[in-house]
Formats: sequence, C-alpha cells, structure tokens
Amino acid sequence: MSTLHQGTTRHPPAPGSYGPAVSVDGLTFSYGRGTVLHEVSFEVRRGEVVGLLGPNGAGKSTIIKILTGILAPGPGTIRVADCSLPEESVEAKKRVGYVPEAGGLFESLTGQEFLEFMGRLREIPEESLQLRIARFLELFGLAADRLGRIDGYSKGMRQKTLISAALLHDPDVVMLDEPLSGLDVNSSVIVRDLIAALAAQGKSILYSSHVLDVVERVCDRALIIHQGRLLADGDLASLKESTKSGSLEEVFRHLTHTAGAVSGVAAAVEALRL
Amino acid sequence: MTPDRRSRTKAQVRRLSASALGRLGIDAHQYWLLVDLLKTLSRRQEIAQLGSRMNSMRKAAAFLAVLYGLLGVVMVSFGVPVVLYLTMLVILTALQLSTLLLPDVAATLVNPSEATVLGHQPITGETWTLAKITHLLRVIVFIVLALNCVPALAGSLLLGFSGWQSVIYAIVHLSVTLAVGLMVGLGCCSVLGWLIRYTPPRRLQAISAVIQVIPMLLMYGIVTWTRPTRGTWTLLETPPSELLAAVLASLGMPSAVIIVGLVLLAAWAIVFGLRALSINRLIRSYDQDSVSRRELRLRGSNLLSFISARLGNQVRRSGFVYVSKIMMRDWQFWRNMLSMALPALVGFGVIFVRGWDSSPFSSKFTTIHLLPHMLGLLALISCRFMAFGSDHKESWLFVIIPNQFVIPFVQGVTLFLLSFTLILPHALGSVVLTWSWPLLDLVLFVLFSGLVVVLYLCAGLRFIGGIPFGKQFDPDKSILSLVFLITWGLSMGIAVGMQYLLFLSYFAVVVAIVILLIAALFSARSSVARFAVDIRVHMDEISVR
Repeated sequence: MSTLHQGTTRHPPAPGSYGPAVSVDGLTFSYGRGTVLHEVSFEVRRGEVVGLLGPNGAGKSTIIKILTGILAPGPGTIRVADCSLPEESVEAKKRVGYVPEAGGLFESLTGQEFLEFMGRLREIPEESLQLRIARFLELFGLAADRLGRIDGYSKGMRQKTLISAALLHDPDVVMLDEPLSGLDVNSSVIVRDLIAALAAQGKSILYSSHVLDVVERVCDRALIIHQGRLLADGDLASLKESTKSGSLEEVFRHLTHTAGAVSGVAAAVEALRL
Repeated sequence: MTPDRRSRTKAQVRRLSASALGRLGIDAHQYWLLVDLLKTLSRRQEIAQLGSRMNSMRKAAAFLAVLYGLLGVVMVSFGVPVVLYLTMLVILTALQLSTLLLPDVAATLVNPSEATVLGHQPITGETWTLAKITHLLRVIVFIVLALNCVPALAGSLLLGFSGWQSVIYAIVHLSVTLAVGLMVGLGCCSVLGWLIRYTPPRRLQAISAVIQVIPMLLMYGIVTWTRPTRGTWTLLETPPSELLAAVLASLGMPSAVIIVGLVLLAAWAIVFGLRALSINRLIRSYDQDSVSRRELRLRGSNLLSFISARLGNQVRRSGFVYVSKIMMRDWQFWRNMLSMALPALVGFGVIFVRGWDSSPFSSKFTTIHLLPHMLGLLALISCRFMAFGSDHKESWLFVIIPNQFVIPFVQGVTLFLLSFTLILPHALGSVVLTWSWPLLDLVLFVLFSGLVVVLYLCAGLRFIGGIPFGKQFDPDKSILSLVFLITWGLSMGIAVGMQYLLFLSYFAVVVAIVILLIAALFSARSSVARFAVDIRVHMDEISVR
C-alpha cells in the first residue's frame, strides 16, 4: 500500500468549480480582549493538501473552527467551498468534513448509531449510508466494535470514528485538526493514504498538525502560523530554500524562533537535580 | 398499540408535520432526527442531567406525585379557599420545577459534547431551537402532570363542583400549572443563557447547583408557613376575595402593577429563554470554552494552604490538597451536597440558635445535644458523595502511584475531612459558646462532640470505598437511601436520649470521653487501613479495565 502520493493521479477541478476551495483574506479574530488572529490571508486550491503548522496557542484550531462555521469570524473575507462565511455557513457546512482535535462524539451512542446519525443529518440515502459506514468500519477495523458504546472506545477508536463521520458525506473540503492523534502505526498509514486518495479525487484538505514529518510527507504546501500571524505560505521545497533549511522542522524552528529552546531544556534538566 | 403500529403512526405524524414545519423554515428531517437524538441521549444519560435524568426523574416524579397528592388531599380536607389552594400549588410546582430544571438546563445549554459534535453540522438555528424546546416541553409536561394530577382532581371538591364543573376545574388547574411550568422552564433557560455570557460553561453547572438552592429554600419556607398554626386557621376563615386583597395590600402595590410585572416577567422568560436555546448560544458556549481555558483563574484558600503546608509529608499534603480542591470544584459533588446536606445545615443552624444559651450539663434538655450528630451526618454525607466525581475517568492517574504512598495519601484525605467536619465547626462554635457556658462544660462538651464526630467520620471513610471522586455517578441509583436516613434518625434519637442522661453527671461524661477516645483511636486506625485497601482494590480495577 502506498503511503504517499506516488502513483496517484490528480484529477482536474470539477466542471463549473473554479477558484480556490478555501480563501481567507485579512481574517482577524478575538476571544474577548485578546486578538488571536491578525489579518491572516491564504488559499487552499482544489485537490491540494495544505499543512497548517504552528506552536501551541498559535491560532491553528481557531482558524479551522472559523472555516467550519463553528466560530463567527471577525473582520476579513472568507469563502469555503464557494460559500461566503458567515452568511452561507449552513451551506458551507454541508460541503465540509471536519475532524476536531478533541471531543466531538456522543459518548452514550454506539459507533454505528453515531455514524448513522451523522449520515442521516447529511441526508445520505439509507442504502448508500449503510454501505459507506460498513466500508469505513472495515477500513479502520471497527466492524467488531460497531455496536459498543463510544464511552468504551479507546482514543484511537474514537479518532477513527470521527474521521469516518467527517468523510461519510463525501465533502469537497476536509479540515483535519490533529487527525493522527491516538492512532497506531497502521491506522496512521491508512489515514495518510486516505488523504492522498481524497486529494487525488480533487478534494481540498487543510491539515493541522504538530507532527512535522507527517506534514512533510502528506502535504503539498504548508502554512506556518505563530502568535496569530501567518509567517510563511509556500510549497515545502521553496520554504526550505528560502530559509536555507534542510527539513521542515528546521524551517519551523527558524520561523517561530524556537531554536533557543535548547538552553531551556538544559535548565529544566538541571532543575531535576535540585 | 403494537410497536409496528406505533412506528407507522409516528412516521405518518412526521410526514404530515413536514410541510407545516417547512413553512416555519424548519428542516423537518433534521428536526425529528434531533428530537430522537435528545430522547436517546436522555435515556442513556448522555447529557449530564437534562431529560437525562428521565429515569431518575421518573422515580422522583412518582415520589412527588404521592407527596403532592397527599398535600392536595390534606388542603382540601382543611377546606382551604380555592384561590389560595390553586395559588399554593402553582407556586410549589414552579419552585419544584425550577429545582429540577435548573441544573438540567445548564447541562443542555452548555454540554461540551453538543457543541463539538453539532457546532459544525449544517443545522439551521430554527430547527435546533425547536428541537430543544420540544425536548424541554417533554420534561415540563411530564413533571407538571405528575405533580398536579391528583391535586387537580382533589381541588374540584373544594367548591362542591359536580360533573362537568369538576372536569373544568381540573382542566383549568392543569392548564395554569402547565403555563406556569413553561414560563419556569424558559425562565431557567434565560437565567442560564444570561449567565453563560459571563461564566465558562464548565463552571455553569456548579453555579446552577448553587442557584438551585434558592427555590429549595423558598419551598422550605412555604411548607413551614403552611403548617397548621393560628395564622393558618385565620387564613382559612378569610374569604378568597379578601385574602387576595390582603396579599396585594401587603405587597404595598396596586394590583395593576403586579399584573403588569407578572406579564413582563413572562415576556422576559419567553424572549430570553428562546434566545438561550438558539444555536448561537451553542456556538457561544464553544467560544466561551476557549476563553475559559485562557482566562480562568482559580483562587486558593489561604487557610487550606496554611494547614497543608504543615503536614510534613508531601504525599499526605497531596491527599489533603486533592480532596480540598476537587471538593470545591466538582459540580456534581456540590449538586449532591446542596440537595442532601442543606436540611442538615439548616438543622445545624436551628440547633445552635436554640441551644447556645443553655449548657448540656444544665439538667434541662437542650438542642445542643443534637450538634455532634448533625456534624456526624455532614461527615457521612460528604464521604458518601466523595465516592463519585465528574472527572472520574481521570482516576487512572492513581494507578501510577507507588503502593507505599497510599497510606500517607489516605492520611492527608482524612486530615482534610477532620478539619472540615470537626476542627473548623468546633473552633467556631467554641468561640460563641464561651460567652454563655462555663469553661469546664464547654471543654467537656467539645471533647465529647469531637470524639463522636471522629466515630462518624471513621464510618464515613468506609463509604468512600475507593479513590475519592473516582467513580461514575449513576443517577438511577440513590446515593443515600431513605432507609439509611431513617436508621440514622432513629439511632440519633436513642443516642441523644442516652446523652441527656449522661450529661447529668460530670464524672459519667469524663468516663464516656475516655471510652470514646479509645474507640475513636481503634476505629480511626482500622478505617484508615480499610480506606487504603479500598483505594488499592479500586486501582487494580482501573488497571485491568
């Protein structure tokens, strides 16, 4: 099974759909007094996998919550799957699949019930829905546990359920917030293949993660955000070239000024002796 | 009706309602899906309380139905004027409903699962709001009918109604209580919807538990006031019209002002209640959750920090701090404590106020004899409720604690409970009683009372039965059974009787203190050891899960 884009052919954009799948222009957002996003602008083209990188608290999850219509955006222009936000948020939500970083499940439902609810909410015809659910459960090895309550699921099983629920309605745009969190090696490989296959079908994917080597292998392009400001937007090769770095990790450390963290590590280890 | 026929009827109703709902801008398909979802979640107790507690709510409703039925029959047999009868039942229903609904509504409005699962789904605001209102209505109708069916029928006997007149009275009675119930439901939503603007959702449940006490206290007040006293008899003899005029006059306002006030209150409940149930509120709760992570600052207690810093052992200190912090912040603990310990605390106050001026050695009976037992009950209840916690899943953390740390941890927990139920109340009580009792009486009574509380606490430690706050609360099972409370009441009665006789002699009290001291030492040692064993067993259960 291939783990990367090798051997997959990108489809051209669907007829009638031109322009980027996600377009953000001058987005600013505040929680109460503190501004967490400062005039962020970027695009995600159709069939593109874009990595959204940044340290904790940089504003990655906030961007994704705004793009999925959960949070009402502040000043700026946002278009997702040909819909303007927040005006057409219900329509946009129909075309977006979202895997949240945490939570996102009704604990007392079974895996099967949860996926059925999600599918029915999206008005997928029953026959097709059951087929899709069965395929996803099989893919993730959840078929045997489908009638177990979610509160008895492991973290990985919950994550697989969330990924399945996000993809059931065949969304045009997929937003993934740390999708590999809690997954074992095999499941991670499956998700990476899935991302590649979806991109090959012309779906646009925004992939938020801290795991840089996965982003390096999965994404065509990366956005690096720090303290609510977009620091870099480009394909991985050009980012490495412009910062004279050998890996995405070095690019990230260079841009977010975390290279000096080594002295902090030494101080913390020193404190263990006290 | 057979299940097949029922599902056919259900499908037909849904088909017929689709066009009507569509005209209101509601997606019928999503609406019924959400209604079914809320019903399923309620049955399975997903949402911490709302409907959620339908199973336990059924039991509570059955109990209250009997209670309100009896109340109705008693009031009718006393010949209470019909206006007073209906007013009393409406007020009691409203208060009862608000105590049941406040925490439930808090849990529905701010359930983080709802926000994270449904916040990004293509659901319109109208559809979402109507599904929630439908669910809320289900709960309100269920409770109001349970409380008022018997009183409505009994009430028709008041004016000697017969035939269709009785039916009309019953319909009027139920309609009025349902309308008021709906206003109360929406009022609860609006209060909490307003609170959510200033409070992080995770703390709202705790705040709702505190607010819940207000209607509870009002109910106690009304029940106390309606006991057959001379004033009540005067009320019964007053004609209804004069009574109403007297009530209005006592409020010092013309009736028109009161009516306008009530109408405004109802309008406020409807407008803000509906707003609180909107999808925007759900999004706000999601939004607020992010804020709460950034802005939440919890204050520590200086007194607790002072005591914990002097415990010597770091593990003992962690046990002390763990229980003191979680006890203050676990909304489920507070909710249970407020509903059960409130009568104990009220009783504690009454005992103190009535008995503070006469020493227990004064040969006449004083309510102060009840004091150690009320404090003991507080210790028992605290320990029982400490067994369960909202964050019970996090108790896996204890599995990584080395075995030899369990005993000092348990000692820390016990020391906190001792400070909370014994040292603090006795220290405060002693300060007040110094003014009215001879010093010797005070010292002997405090020693006696303290040792009794230690014995209660030793029994209480066995109630925890594992890691404190480490088990999941099951709303279907009562934490403290009625049998337990009755047994405690009877035992306390006997103990207080013996105590009264004992306190006739100083020598007997000294002997009793020595015996209690020996018993307390033995039972403390064995209870602490047992508590440690319970924690280890619980840790084993978690590790094999």
